[in-house]
Amino acid sequence: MNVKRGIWKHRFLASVMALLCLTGCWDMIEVNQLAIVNFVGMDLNPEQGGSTFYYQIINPTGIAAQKTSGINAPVYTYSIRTSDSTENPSKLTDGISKTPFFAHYNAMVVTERAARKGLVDQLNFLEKQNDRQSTIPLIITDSPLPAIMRTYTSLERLPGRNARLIIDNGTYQTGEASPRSQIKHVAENLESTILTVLPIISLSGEDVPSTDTKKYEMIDANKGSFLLKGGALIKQGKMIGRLKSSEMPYYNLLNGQIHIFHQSVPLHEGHVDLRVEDFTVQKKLVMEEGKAVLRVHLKAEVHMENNTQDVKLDEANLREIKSQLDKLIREKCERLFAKSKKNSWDIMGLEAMIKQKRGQPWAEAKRNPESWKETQLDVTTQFIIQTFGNTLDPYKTR
Amino acid sequence: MSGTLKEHISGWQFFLITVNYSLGTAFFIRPGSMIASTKQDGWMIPLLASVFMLAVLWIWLGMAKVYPNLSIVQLAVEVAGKPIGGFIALLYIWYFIQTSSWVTRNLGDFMKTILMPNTPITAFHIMFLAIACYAAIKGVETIARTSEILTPFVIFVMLTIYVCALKEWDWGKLEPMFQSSFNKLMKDTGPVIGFPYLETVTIMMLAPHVKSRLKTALLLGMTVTTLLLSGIVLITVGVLGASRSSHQVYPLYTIVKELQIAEFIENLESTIVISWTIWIFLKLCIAYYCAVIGICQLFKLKNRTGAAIPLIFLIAGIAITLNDNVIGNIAWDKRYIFQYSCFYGIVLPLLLWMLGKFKKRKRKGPAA
Amino acid sequence: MEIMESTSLRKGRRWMNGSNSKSSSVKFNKYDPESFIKSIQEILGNPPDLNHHPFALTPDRQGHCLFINTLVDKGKIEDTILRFFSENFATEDAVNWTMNELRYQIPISNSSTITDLNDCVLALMEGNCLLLLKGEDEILQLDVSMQSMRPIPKPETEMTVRGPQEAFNEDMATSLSLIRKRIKAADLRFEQFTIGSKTESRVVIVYMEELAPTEVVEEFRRRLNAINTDSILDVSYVEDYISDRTFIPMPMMQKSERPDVTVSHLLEGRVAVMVDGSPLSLIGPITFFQFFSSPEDYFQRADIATFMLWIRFISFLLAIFVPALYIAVTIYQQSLLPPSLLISISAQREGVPFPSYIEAFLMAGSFEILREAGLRMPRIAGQAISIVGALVLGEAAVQAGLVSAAMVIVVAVTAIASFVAPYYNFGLSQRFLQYAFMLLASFMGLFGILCGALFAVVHFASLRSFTVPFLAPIAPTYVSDWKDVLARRGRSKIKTYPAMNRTKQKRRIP
Repeated sequence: MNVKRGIWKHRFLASVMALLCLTGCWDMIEVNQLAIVNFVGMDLNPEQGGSTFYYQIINPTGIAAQKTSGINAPVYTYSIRTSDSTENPSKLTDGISKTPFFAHYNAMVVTERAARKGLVDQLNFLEKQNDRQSTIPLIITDSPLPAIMRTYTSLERLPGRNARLIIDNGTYQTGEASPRSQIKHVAENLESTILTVLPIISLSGEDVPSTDTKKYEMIDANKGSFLLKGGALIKQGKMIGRLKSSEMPYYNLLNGQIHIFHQSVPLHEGHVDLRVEDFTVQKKLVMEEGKAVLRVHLKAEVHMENNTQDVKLDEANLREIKSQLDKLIREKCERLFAKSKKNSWDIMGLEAMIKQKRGQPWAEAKRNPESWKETQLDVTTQFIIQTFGNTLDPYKTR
Repeated sequence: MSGTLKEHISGWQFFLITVNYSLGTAFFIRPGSMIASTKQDGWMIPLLASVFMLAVLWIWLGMAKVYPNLSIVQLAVEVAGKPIGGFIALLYIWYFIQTSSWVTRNLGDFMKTILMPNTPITAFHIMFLAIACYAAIKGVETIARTSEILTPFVIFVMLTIYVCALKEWDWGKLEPMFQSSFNKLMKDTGPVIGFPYLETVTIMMLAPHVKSRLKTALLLGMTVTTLLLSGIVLITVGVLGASRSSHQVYPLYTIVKELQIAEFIENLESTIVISWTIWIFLKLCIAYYCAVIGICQLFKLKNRTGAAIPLIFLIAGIAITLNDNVIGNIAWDKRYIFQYSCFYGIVLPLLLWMLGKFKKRKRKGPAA
Repeated sequence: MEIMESTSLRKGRRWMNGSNSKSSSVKFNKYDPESFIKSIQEILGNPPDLNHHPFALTPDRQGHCLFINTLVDKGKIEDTILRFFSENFATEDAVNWTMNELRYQIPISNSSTITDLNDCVLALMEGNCLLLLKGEDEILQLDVSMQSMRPIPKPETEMTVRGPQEAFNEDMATSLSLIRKRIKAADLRFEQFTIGSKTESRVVIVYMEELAPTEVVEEFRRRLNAINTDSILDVSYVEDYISDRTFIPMPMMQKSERPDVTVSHLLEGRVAVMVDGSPLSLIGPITFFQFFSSPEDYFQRADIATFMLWIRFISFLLAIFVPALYIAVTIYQQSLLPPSLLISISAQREGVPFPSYIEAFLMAGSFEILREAGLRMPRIAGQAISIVGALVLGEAAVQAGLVSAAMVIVVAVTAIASFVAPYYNFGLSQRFLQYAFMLLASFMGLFGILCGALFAVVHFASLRSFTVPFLAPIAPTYVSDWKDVLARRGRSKIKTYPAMNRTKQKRRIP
């Protein structure tokens, strides 16, 4: 009797458990009911106030291996208006038939005017969302946002991914983009005086968006595609200035974030194109005779890519190349530093460095937030030329 | 009474239980609050707390030595008599139940935030408690073996992930170090001593089952706990930065979420969800078992099942009424946890130890 | 104490079992053999194959020879017994031969004297020949049973590429001889039980006296003695009675058709059970991790065997978790999928009418049907099945948009992985777990799978197979045993017996 009652109790408990399991179904959603967001854009509405957000949503059958002939649209762009400066994705469902899915979006793009106004609210919103990755690049654009968001890109057909790959190229191939340009890096520096440099992308051609899939049939890929165009300086979530493409490698160099960069050295009526890799950058802020000096020591490997000198490549010539390279780099770094001081862009994070210093000599400097401007830059280099390509000397026609 | 003592656990198993119990939830919840309060110096807090714990461990071991075959609940009844001892025992049982509800709630919050936002939190609670209840019915040996098989897995996953996370390591983020004054450090250490260190008094319920190397296991367990806790704070600060991690509810989860090993190995957060769930589960099993066994010992029940099953609903109920959300938890943690845990972790054990010694001497007196 | 008693009662029990009729104490009456024969015939229902052959020692000493001709070797009766009588007919000695003297005169090795009716019936059923002499107290039983030696077959379900190719067959004597052949030690023990009131099956437990721990052997005896049934037809019947109970269907004893496997287990202090008429041995105690080791492991280099062992671990995990994870990830935790995979699954599912979990159960279910059909079909029709299976389930279902291609791949991977399990009955449990996890995944996603896995671990941790914890040597930890379970080491490195078995001797080489 007792045993029977026990079994009944267990069965009852088991069925309660099974019923509880069923509540999990409230979270159930099929893959094909998701609107996979790939690219998000943000712009301010100058007249009405508030912002406009653009969402590019993937059309899976357009992307996945083509079963049917013809070309389908890989993404569709939706836009919504919000009354304040943060996103409101729930409004998105007014216009689309699926559930927005943000976990895999590739990049977020913000117009320059929105960035200059400040992104703190939006960043706080992003950091709060559990389903958003904060490892995606935050991009600034100086082209009109509708044009950016309504452009089909060739080769890589997902525009968000396309932008991301262009930035990756900038980071790993040319040094023109900072590797620390993701949302999390901006968030990290929100409470400090350190700057973040975000990549600027604009639309090439005459700012004509390529809004239909005919784009894929055209051979001229230059029209209406993304172009990396330098960096935007962000301080505490606000854009304060921009660096040119040509200045970006030196910014990365000074901050020790560089992977690779190319430098052409004019020498002996020709020039030597060099690829500099494998950097180790040592930064040290010291007080010398009452003045703060930032010592930057660069160590790198140099590979020769082109050589049009009319002298033979020998040890003396190599020394010349090295010293010329050293001179060039130092010059450019100094120039960039001077420019930043002039514009009050603390690109090296000097203020924060001074703040962390301890001891008597720094007490004065710590009191004055402008004291970083008095810091001097001292760049030293050490290069090893490693490879020369297939040929040693150039062919001569004379 | 002798029926429950038939089960033995080895020193190694008790060591694992100690580590699992003290780290189970603290490993994920503590770093955030430590960094929020002490910034870059957060890693020193566990070390300070562990020095304090040496004294506490001395009390616990002393207490366990008076009557090595009795658990805390039995000891209380034995040395303080039925009415007072029974009351102390009830207090402890309440403490175990409360701990279980905290642990359960932690899991529920985490699951609801991270995995399934629309599912009622009680569904997670009941399912998890049911399994813990099953483990508690099966006994301490089963729990010990379960932790033996799961702990290496959890530790392995954790270590792999954090070694990978070191890619993002930046020495600069650790600066400025040694900024906090000793007083502030001591003040911030309080809550950490309360949770997880003093909370570990629960596992002294299992001490009678340990036949060898109780002291070694406990000390070693606490050492490992301290090192891991301190290490994880260091890693969190070095990878995430003090500013950012002090804003996050689960900084460790964020670290893993942002981890990219290769381009296609992203979104590794599932691994951390799995390993943390396992850890919470092990802790819950132990706390739940202690509650069940406490009830059985106090009321002299022979069958654990009868005590264990109703506890599912009691704990699930307490878990949702305890705090509305994480904020309430944090406030309670800051203000009261130290005092509250001190009562169970220091005051009562000391009292029981003294009473026990006194009683033993009195009994020995006439004989000698 | 209780156990000791029951073992000493064993002999008695055996006769009791045969006598569920009221005439349990009918004794042979030396003046009236005919009526005794009659009662034997009555008990057996006077079957056509019961032969009753009268003979005579001297003209006035009449005797009866009884046997069941379908069970005996007729040649032996004619050549040995009847010839003996005719050659010695009315000789001087024959006049005074008592039954006991006859027993030593007749050249048949296995003989004894009995008096009880039930013993006689049993002796007949075992293929003995009964000699009754008027005026003698006892009945002589002579073993003339037919030795139907079946050839030793090849292993069918536990195949190995290398190593011995012998398997047990249905004849107990042959099977035991295969074990004897491999172990020459004197402490090899066979203990016989007779179980089943109708079948009177011979059940033998085999163990090494100097290795197998006493408590395990006694546990076997206790559980075997507790069996109360009418029939034991196969070793699985015994397993059902004696193996430990589990909630998750998981074998708690190992069945093997290979004598080499059985012997290797005996030599690690385990106990085997053999049943007459069953070509399998039942081995216990067994632990979870032993289900992953195949006899093949011992015929390969240790490092290669370790690799194969881990392949098996991984495919076990794959078989159990892949379909469940697929369901959980596609309907709950999509963010865990890599983006490009998410897009392509999403594209594939466009237009699939069923939700993912129905799709999964549909595919897995039809695979089960295929597998079952493949087992039962005549071998010639097997080809047809595979064509239908491959075409209908694979190509056509995807083409028709009934299921997504990814689902087909998932089911295929699972199916292949599930065939890796070296033991057939473990493979079956694996399938059960797979479906349980699929169900949990469809209701609770990843959390459901986790809960299921935790429950399984707790459940396994609570199990013991004949006093040995099921998850040993991981939990509880016996580090010295890991070299044979988690990673194989060479034979020369394995110097101790598995510590988890608590063998009487600890070292292999004293």
